Amino acid sequence: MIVSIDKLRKGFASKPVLNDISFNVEQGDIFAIVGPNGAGKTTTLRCIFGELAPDGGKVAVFGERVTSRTKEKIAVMTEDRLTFRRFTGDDYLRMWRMLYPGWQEKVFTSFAVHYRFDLNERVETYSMGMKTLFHIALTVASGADLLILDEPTQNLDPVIRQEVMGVLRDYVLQQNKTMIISSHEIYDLEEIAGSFAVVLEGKVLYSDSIDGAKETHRIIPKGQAIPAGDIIGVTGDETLVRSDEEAGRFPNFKEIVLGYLQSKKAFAPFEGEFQPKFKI
Amino acid sequence: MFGKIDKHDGVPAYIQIMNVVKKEIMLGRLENGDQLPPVREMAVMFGVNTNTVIRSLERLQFEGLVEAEHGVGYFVKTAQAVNREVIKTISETVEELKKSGIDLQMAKVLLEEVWKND
Amino acid sequence: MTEKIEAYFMKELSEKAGRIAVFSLGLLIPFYPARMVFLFLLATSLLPSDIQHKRLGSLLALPYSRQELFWISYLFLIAFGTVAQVIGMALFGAQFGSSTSIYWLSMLIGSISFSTAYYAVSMISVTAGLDNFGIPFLVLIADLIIGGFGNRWNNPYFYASPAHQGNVWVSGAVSLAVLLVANYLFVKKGVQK
Repeated sequence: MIVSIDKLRKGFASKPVLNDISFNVEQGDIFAIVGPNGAGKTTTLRCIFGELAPDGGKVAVFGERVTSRTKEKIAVMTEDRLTFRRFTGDDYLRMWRMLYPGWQEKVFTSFAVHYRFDLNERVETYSMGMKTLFHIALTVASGADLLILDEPTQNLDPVIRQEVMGVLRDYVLQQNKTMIISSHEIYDLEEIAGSFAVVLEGKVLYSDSIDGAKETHRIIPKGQAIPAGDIIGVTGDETLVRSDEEAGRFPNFKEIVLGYLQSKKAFAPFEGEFQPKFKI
Repeated sequence: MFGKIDKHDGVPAYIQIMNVVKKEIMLGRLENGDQLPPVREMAVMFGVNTNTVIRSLERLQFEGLVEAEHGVGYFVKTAQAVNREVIKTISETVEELKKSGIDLQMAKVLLEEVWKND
Repeated sequence: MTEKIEAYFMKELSEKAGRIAVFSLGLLIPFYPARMVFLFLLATSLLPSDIQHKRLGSLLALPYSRQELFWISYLFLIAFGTVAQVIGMALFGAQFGSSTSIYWLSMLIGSISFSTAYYAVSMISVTAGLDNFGIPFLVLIADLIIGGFGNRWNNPYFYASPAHQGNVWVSGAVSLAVLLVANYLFVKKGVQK
C-alpha cells in the first residue's frame, strides 16, 4: 500500500472541509480523486503530502507518517502550479536536481524538446498551458515513486490533453510508479485511472478499482425490472444499481461517478447512526 | 498485436483483455504453446496496470485457455477444432449480410437485438 | 541536507534579489541602530514573508519539512547578517587583536541575538494568522519604549530586551526562548490560515 487514508478530517478556522475521507492507493496504480469543485479534492491531496496536518484520522504514505525523507519520494504538482517569482526554467531545473535524488534529466529534456520550453525565460511569463506542461515535466522527471497531480489537464487544449494523459499513463506503467490525480474531468481520468474515489462535501461516497466498480454495478434502462441490490442513483432514463445479478448492462466510469454524485448518499447526515428498518 | 483497450466502455478492462486474447486464439493467430508477452509489457500495450493483466490471465487460466509456467510466463494451451467452425459460420453470415447491403454498424445492432431476444 | 540548504538559498536569492541586495548594503554600516533596522527588515522578509503571501504551500510541496524550512531560513538570516557585518568590519577598519575587537565581537553577538528575536516574533505573528511586518514592528516599538523607561539601569526589562540588550546573556536567553516557542508553534500548530 503506497497511500492509506483512514477517516481523515480537516477544517479551516471552524469551517469543516473534509469530513470522512478513507481510501487506499496501491503500488503501480493510477488513483483518481473525482468530484465537483470544492468537494475537498485539493485539501485531501495537501494532507497527503504533508502541507496540512489533519484534524483527525490517519494518513500514511509508504506505510509511515510523511517526513522530509519520504518527501524525496513524492513529487507534487499543485493546483496553482508552484510558481517561484523570477525563476527561469533553468532555475527550476537546478532546484529540482538538488532536491530530488532520483532526478531523470533525459525525461525532462524530452519534454523540453517536444513542447519547446524556453529555459532562459521566466516561467511566470509562460502561457497557462505551457506552465502546466512545464510543471508536469518537472513532476515526472523528479523520479519520485509517488506522483501527485492536482488538476493536471486544466488549461491544456484537447489534443495535448490526450497526449499528456497517455504519456503519464505509460510512464507510470513502465516505471512501476504510483500516481494520484485529481480532476473534475471524468473523461480524462477514465482514460488512465485504475482506481478511484468519488468525493463530495468532504466525504468519500465510493472507492474501488474501476473494474471492480463496473463488475458490481448495473445500468438498468427505464421500464426494466430492477434486480435485487442497492439503488444508487438515477442518471437520465437509467438507474444505477449495485448488484451482482445479470441484468441490464455494465455501467461505464462516467455513469458510476454521476450515479454516486446524484445518489441519496450524497447528503446523508445521519448515515451510520440512523439505520432504517425497512428499505423502500 | 494488442492495442489499448477502451476505457470508456462499460465492460471491465480485464474482460476486454480476456476477449482480445480469446479472439487471437480463435482466429488462429495465437496457437497452442505460444508464449504471451511478459505481464509488464502487456500492461503497457493495453494501457492498464499489471494487476489488471494478471487478473485476466488468471481468469483465462481458470477457463483453461492459458497455462502459467512458473518464472517463465504464460502459454496458450488450447485445442482449436470448435473455434474454427465458429469463425467459418461468422464468415458465411457476414457474406450474406454484405449481399443484403447491411453494414457493420447495422449488423452489430441486429446481432445485439437477436441475442437479447433469444 | 546541503543540497536542501543550497536550493533554499538559491530560491531566496532569485526571488528576493533586489531586497536582499539593499539590506546587505545597509548591514555593512557598523552602527548598531542602523544594523537593527536592516536586520529587522531582512528577518521579516524571509520565511515569514513567504507565509504571509501564501507561498508556504509551494515550499512544503517540495521535499522540505516545516522543521527544515524554519531552521534553513533562520540559517540564511544569521549567515547573511554575519557575513555582511564581517565585511563591514573589514571595510570600516576593525583592528583585530586590539581592544576594539571586543566591541566588534559584542556587536556581532548582539546582532545575532536581535535577529533571532525578531525572526521569531515575525514567525509567531504569521503563524497566528497575523502579518509578517506590522505586528513585529509594533513589538519592536514597544520593546524600545519599555526598555528605555526611566533610569534604564533600574529597569529590569532593559536587561532582557532584545533591542536594548542591557545584559547580553539575559537578552540572548530571551531571544533563544522566543525562537524555540516560534519553532514549536510553527511545527506543531501549523499556520492558522
